[in-house]
Amino acid sequence: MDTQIENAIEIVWNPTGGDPNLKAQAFDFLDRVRSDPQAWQVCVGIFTKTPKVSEVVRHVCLEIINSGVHTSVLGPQELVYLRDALMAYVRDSYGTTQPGQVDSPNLQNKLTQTLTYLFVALYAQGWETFFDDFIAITTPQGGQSWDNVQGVSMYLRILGSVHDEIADVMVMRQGNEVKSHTDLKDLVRARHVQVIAQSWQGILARYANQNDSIAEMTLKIIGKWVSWIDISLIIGDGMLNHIFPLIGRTSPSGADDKVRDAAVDAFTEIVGKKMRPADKTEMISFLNLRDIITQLIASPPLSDYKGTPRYDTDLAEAVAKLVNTVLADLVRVLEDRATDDATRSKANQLLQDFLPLLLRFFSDEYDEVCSTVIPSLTDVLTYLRKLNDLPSGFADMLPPILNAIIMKMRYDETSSWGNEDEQTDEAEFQDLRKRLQVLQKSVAAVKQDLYIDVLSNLVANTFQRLDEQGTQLDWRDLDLALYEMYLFGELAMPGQGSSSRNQQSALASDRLMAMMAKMIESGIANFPHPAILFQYMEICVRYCAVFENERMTPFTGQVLETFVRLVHHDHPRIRSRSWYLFHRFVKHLRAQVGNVAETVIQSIADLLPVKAEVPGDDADDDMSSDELDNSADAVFTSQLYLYEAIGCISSTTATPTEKQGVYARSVMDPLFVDMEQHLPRAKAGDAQALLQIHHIIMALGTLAHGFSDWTPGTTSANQRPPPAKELSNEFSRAAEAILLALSELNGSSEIRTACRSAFSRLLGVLGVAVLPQLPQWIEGLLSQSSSKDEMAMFLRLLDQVVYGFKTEIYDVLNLLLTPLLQRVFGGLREPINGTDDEIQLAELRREYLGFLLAILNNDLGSVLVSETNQGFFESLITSILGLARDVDPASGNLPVSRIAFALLGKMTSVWGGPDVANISANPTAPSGAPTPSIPGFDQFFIDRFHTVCWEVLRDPNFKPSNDAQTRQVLTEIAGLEQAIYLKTGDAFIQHLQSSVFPAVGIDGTDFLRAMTTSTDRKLFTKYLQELQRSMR
Amino acid sequence: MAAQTNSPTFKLVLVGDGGTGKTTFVKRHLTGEFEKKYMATLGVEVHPLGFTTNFGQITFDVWDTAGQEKFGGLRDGYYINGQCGIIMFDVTSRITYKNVPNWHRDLVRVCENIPIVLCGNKVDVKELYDISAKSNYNFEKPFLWLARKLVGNPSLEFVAAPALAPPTAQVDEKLLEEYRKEMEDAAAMPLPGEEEDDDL
Repeated sequence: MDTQIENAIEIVWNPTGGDPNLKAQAFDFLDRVRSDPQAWQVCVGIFTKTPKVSEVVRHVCLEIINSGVHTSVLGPQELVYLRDALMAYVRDSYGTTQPGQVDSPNLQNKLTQTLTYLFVALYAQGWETFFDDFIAITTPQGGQSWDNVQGVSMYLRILGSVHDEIADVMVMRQGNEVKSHTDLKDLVRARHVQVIAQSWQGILARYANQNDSIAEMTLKIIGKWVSWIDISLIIGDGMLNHIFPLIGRTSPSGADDKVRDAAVDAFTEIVGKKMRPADKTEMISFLNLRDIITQLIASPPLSDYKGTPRYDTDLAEAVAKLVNTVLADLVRVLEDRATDDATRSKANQLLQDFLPLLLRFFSDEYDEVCSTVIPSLTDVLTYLRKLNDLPSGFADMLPPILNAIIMKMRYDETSSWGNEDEQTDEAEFQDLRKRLQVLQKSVAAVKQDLYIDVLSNLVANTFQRLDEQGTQLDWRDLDLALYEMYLFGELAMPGQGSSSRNQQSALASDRLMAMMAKMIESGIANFPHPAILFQYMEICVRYCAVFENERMTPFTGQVLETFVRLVHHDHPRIRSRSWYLFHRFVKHLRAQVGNVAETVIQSIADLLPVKAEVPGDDADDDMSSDELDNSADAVFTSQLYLYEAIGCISSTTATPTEKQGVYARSVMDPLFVDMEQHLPRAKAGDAQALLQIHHIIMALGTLAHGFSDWTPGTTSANQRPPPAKELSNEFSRAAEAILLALSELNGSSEIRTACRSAFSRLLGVLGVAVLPQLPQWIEGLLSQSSSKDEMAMFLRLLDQVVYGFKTEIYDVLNLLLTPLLQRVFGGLREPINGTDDEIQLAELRREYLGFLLAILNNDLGSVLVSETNQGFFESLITSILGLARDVDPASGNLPVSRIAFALLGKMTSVWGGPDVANISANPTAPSGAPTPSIPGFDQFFIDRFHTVCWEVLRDPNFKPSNDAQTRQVLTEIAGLEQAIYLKTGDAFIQHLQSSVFPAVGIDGTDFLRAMTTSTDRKLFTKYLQELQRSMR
Repeated sequence: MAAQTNSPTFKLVLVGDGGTGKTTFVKRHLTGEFEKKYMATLGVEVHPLGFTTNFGQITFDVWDTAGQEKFGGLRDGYYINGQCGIIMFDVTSRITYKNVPNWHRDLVRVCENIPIVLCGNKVDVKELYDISAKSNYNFEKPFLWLARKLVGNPSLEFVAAPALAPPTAQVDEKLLEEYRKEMEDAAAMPLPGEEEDDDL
């Protein structure tokens, strides 16, 4: 069997080549070996035999043994046998100082893992001498303690592995492992921890400057174990006297020193150990950490080599981590209410002492080092923010903090902007800026006046230098000032900053205006570096509200001029972003920009022609919108913003209405011509022509949206008034052109999508003028090839129309309803193929019911029963009842069923006539005969609607106690039953008493009480749920 | 751009819970796709991924251990001779994150002192695309970091973007938060009668 296992492992290991069938066989064979309870014995033989077999075979043999131990396949005697076999091997291979015996590190670790599993199984009983046995092999025959370096290494691996297995808090443990590991830790603490701590001193004494790898391992082990053993075992002089020299050690070559880094890390672990506030504070002072860190900072790797390739970033990160831990712990001490005064004052002092150290690493040239201390700086600032009065010591800390943050926000000298090869660095820098921004905001929250002053000065000084140096000024300085301005403005916006500091907000707002005035006057809009232009536009748009102030309104024209120039910029990133920002700017400042449409349209006319390009096979189909995406599609998307911008600027308050129509026509006419030219080719199936028409339709719709974002039916005061007649006439031509294209090309789903988008946008400029065209729109938008998805979207759009025009559209809707619903029914009947279809069908069902609900909610219910649509009424009701009835949780129809019952309830209320009954705590008996708006409906409700309620209640799949969706259906059923009662009164009660109650086997008293008294529908729902359960 | 056979090559071990998108992640890098060495039944796929750096060509032999997390094959035997590692988790699944330390422990046991990157992937939600424009950057970043560590030079850069397949679906965090809240709301809804025996 040995050979078979060995061969199988070798075959499976070889990742390339070989016979696939053979591999599959070997793979299966190994699976069988693994489940064989005797396999581990064979594997022990293979692992220990000489001459040694290959690495991977021995590794996998240990792995198979491990599964055996770990899954308790081995009994107590077998475990002892395994221990003896492996310990014999360990003594043989590691107990001697003869070289050439030991295994590779990964095999040593794998062997250690097996031994660790044996420790877990036997340390409590059966292998109490576990640690002693390994310590024993470190002393060679006739030698001194710790002389056997191979043995020491094996012993240290054991300590590391034991910790990882039983004490590493990060590792997930299964059920009973938690307890057994806790018990083991207690046992180790009781039996061996003294000996083990002693061993570290012995090993460090022997190897500190002899063998770096042993020293490093020892320090790492100390760092691990300190979290769960008595701290006094570590911070006694005996131990510290061995560690301190390692921290301060300098290598003559200046090369990286892993031992020193490990010593720093060990200190980080020691300092970070959980303990009481007073002890923690005491320890930080006792360890003299401030001096140690100060010396490290002054050491050549972190000081002399700064700015050179020899600078030791690993050491910098290690020390930064130590500093971060110290400060985070000090803040924790200060935040702990239980901390006594003496400790508090000591911790306060320590915090102030350590802050300069923190800022040293925060300001480090390397962002990884800076990032290491961001968490504790955040803690410090959060703590300061909570203090009511800032003690002077703390107040003095803030300026250096703020300055350090600002300096980190600057692009460094080697960085560039917009360089395609450096996207990664730039993205990382933007990430860092975001985190710094959070810190900066914290400073602002602690001391807003300082923040305002520092930032104002920075910006003012930079503009001053720009005046003096002109384009000689480093763009990075200018970028920093603009970026800070961009952040500063947040404080000045209403609702920002602290409300108790309103005065300061006014101050900030004042400063922001001054900065923006200065920015515009400074001429930086002509600065050669694109990053600056970018910032300029972003600031103008983000704080465009500033231009509403009369002091600033005069600047609007100048900014607008700049935009009109920048939209032509030859840097693609500037150009496409500027189109969007230009649109935002004019949209917001319609009231300020004045009557400038003619000039603007002339100046940007060259950018307006639409040019569709069919993407080739080699097109970048990456879905992410790459910032440097110059594809024709991306350009067109940005171009649409220009159309919207023109719409906005042509419809400013200062533009006479008749002029607005003229401007609209001047932009649309070329599009009409273009469309006419492309239409024949598009009809013939030319892809480019089809896409061109798609683009033209989108452009027309977007232009319309710029002119007016009024939505019919709106009651919001913020929206602009309905369109003027001149304008809606102009856009009726656009609608006609689009409808013409639609009628010719409605087999294309892209065209339908564009038209649907244009239709919803044209509503705002057409107003009621759209109504006569509605049949054409519906005819065109719902093609034979419309997907369910598309129908659903279209119904949603119709909801908007119904809401917007209400009874105004009665006649149109009346004519269209039956054909429209026939189309929808076609979609509902389509066969289902796969998950996507199921989702789309559910969506269409919801929208269909939602549309009917919208009709009823907007007082248009009579179209459903009008003479024109009467013939369809039965099909309509049947379909609704069918959707209500389907409550199998597996069908996914529950949300639809809920809407269907709600719709039936609504129909009952709308068509049921006046109430003949009431629901209240003390209901009176129903009085009078039902008078539904359509004769006979009272009986119809009981026969049809009510019947479905009870079909569902009796359905064995209907389990409201199982999930929330089913329960919501039940709630709607309760509502419907109550609605029927309100409209039919006695007739309903009689029906219940004569047919329902006897069938269910109840006398009905409780039912009637619940139904007639539950003003809160939930109570009746609850009753029905109880009743339904008892029916089973 | 094919990975050149004479360029420095590093064995990269890719681990993480099942379903965290390890395979999808590797396959986004189409460069090496043509030379993929496939071992479907044996559970490990080795993909050579090539990158061009300012110091020349570099290749990662990515050992994608997909499907081998729990049973079969050589388990951590596949890690032998690994020179760097990526541990993958799914940011939308807490358990895959909690298991990261276990993966880390298992990996460093076999491969001491190798550089390891932790990668949070977003899987599960379709049809939502991250438009933050960083997808490519995010894909390259772990490889860049590893390359810098392996070469020992922090100034190493990738100089030409490799051809990339469309990014995997990304989660809109806000939307995800909404979904999560909806789920919680639904779960928190009182459902009287839960003790009811519905096994009828």
